[in-house]
Amino acid sequence: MQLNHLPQAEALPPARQPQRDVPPAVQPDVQPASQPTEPRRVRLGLAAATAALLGTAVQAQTSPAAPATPAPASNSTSAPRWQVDSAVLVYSEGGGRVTAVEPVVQAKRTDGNDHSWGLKLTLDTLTGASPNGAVAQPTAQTFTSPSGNSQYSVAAGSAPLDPSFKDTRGALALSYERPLDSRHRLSLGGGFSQEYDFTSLNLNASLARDFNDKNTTISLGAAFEQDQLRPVGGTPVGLRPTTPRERTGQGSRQVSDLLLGLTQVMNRRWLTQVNLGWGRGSGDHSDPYKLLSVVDGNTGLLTGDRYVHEKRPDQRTRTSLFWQNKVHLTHDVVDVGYRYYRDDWGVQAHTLDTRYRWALGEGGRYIEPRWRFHSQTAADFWRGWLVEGSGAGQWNSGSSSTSLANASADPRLGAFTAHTLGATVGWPWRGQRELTLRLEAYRQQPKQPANAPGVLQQLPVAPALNAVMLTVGYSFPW
Amino acid sequence: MAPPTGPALQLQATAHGWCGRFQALGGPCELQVEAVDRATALALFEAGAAEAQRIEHKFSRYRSDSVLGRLQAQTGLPLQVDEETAALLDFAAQCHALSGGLFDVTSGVLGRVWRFDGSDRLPAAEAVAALLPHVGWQRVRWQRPWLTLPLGMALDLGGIGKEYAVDRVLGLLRERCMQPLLVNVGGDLAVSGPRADGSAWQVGIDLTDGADHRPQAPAGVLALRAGGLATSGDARRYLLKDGVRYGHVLDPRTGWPVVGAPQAVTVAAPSCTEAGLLSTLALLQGPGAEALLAEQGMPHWVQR
Repeated sequence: MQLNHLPQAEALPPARQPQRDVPPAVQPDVQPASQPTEPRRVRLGLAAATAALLGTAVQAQTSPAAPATPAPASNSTSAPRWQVDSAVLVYSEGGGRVTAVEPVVQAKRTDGNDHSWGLKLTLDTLTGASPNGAVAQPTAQTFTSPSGNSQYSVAAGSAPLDPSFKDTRGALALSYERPLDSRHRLSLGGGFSQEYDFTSLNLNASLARDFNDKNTTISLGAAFEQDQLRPVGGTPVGLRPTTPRERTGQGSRQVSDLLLGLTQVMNRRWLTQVNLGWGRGSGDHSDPYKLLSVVDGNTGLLTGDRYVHEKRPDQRTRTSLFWQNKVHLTHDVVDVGYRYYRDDWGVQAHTLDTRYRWALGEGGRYIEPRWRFHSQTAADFWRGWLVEGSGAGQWNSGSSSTSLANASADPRLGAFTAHTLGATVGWPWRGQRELTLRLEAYRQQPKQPANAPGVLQQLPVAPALNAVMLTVGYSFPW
Repeated sequence: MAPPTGPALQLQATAHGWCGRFQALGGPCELQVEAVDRATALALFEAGAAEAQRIEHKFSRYRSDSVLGRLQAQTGLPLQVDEETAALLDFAAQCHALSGGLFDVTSGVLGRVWRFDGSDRLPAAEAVAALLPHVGWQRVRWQRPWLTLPLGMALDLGGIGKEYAVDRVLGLLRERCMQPLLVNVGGDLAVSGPRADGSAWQVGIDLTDGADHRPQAPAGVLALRAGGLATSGDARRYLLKDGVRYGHVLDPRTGWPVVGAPQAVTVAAPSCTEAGLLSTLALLQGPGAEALLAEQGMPHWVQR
């Protein structure tokens, strides 16, 4: 129950705002028209006046002296509860690619002092096949698995996928949030994520300050992440042939992020938020399992060293601008978000995410269709393959070297556009329970390369990705 | 009689019953009922919302077809008012007497010179003094059912309108339903009795101003078994000049803010109207707020 127009308890020390009388020169000297009635008469007179006004509507429910029992703030009779959000995501890519099942449980508890604790557990199980960066060929290809213990083949004319892509990831995140005073709010968080070849630890903190009667909020946040890579078979040396195996051992990287946010209530129906982010990563960014094919510049067929490990720069600086609007129509809500991203690897991306929550009658049920559009440019060092030769930007198999500092064929760093289309249906129940069902289809279309040599022009060198995502979620208090 | 098209009503299920939300009387309103089915709850809430809207329209200062609007159109001339308005005017008259002239429904004209926006712009003393002849219930001619408002004066029932609406809506719902009911108009509320399981309604006393969009936890919790709760005062409306803070509660006898008034007062009483009046009277006492409330023996909270 909210008494939401009770005023702010401004925690100002008395010295800052001395309460002085109104200066006598300003206040006119007026005698009161009559003396106020003595207290007991006030009480009875008021009761009588009210009874007359409201007629028999107001009955004497209890004795006038104590109609209610106040409880002191410290032992509130309603103990704070945990609100639990649980969900299972099933993700499936077309063409025998990755399938993932991800259950998540998140619990949050806010106590009487507005201190809030949160806990989130995630389990990710991925199976299936993922592109390994090599390019399709008119003949079958054979690759050695990252562990070096087995091999897998890829059929002629199809985009190479590594089928040994099995992974289980567990992650735990903790968060704590509290008001510092009437206008400031502090959030702290930490997390830990583990899979068999990768560990990540992160810490984050942010401070938010309210202005304009809480219509404006500015926040500043910082996050730090430490990642440890233990690839199967060791970390490969970048831009070296895949055979013979050259390994350097473990890898690691650190990522720091700063976020500046502004949330503004534009009017009773419209809320807008702008976030500016800046991040820097240093350390090992290369994907230890990804390769590039070395092909002949005329025929497009595999040649020379054939496969080379990818390499990415040791530093990555990124900035992003995010703008989101939520508009409440009479019953429905429109949500439009736009994000602009750029980094010093040359990737620039635009993302537009629109949702329309359509309220279905009363009871809080809704259906929310969603369309998301994403478009990005390729990283400067992205290329679909390496061309054999001794010229600039080519791979010289004779010396197993190249003038390139970095190269990667990972489709996620390439130029592509992607659409997501889906809908979520929500059924709330009494007692703050809600069931949600979300179904989304994703299609990623890479930019087709302009000057594919030889046979590559007829082969699927930049295949599209289709995926379907189904999420079932249930929230409840505990 | 078909009810007027009510304000948009949002119905939601709660742990033991139903909750209806709508906008009226300048803010969010909430009605709760327990142990009835959905159709009954919907019918109840629609009636309650329509009643709240009826009161809002009838006593709005901003509508020409409201009672006050028509009164404004013919100041200086006698106006015959209906039973409901007459009852409210009788009530206003009694409160004026009980408070020694501090509670005055004609003090609204002072709003022309006082703007409590947190700045340091005080009105000129002459401007305030010029309005004083138009303030004072004793200048109004009230002989039921005839009301004559002298030229230049205005009536403002904002001080009791919301609490009155809460009690009226609750009364209307109680005529139709024996089950536990709660009526909340922008934080002023009343309940018909304990909840279905015999427990009290848990009402959060919130010491933040509630305009943000995060879920809030109550700073204190009141167990309300019966009766009403109302708050007077607004810590956000003030003027600050030369280190002196002027609260927004005006003494109608001087035209200036009550010296030493608390920022807000919340009172629990057998009805919301009574709670509202007591909280307003406490504010008008300035430094004597706590003393007045202690003498009345009602649960109360004073925020300074």
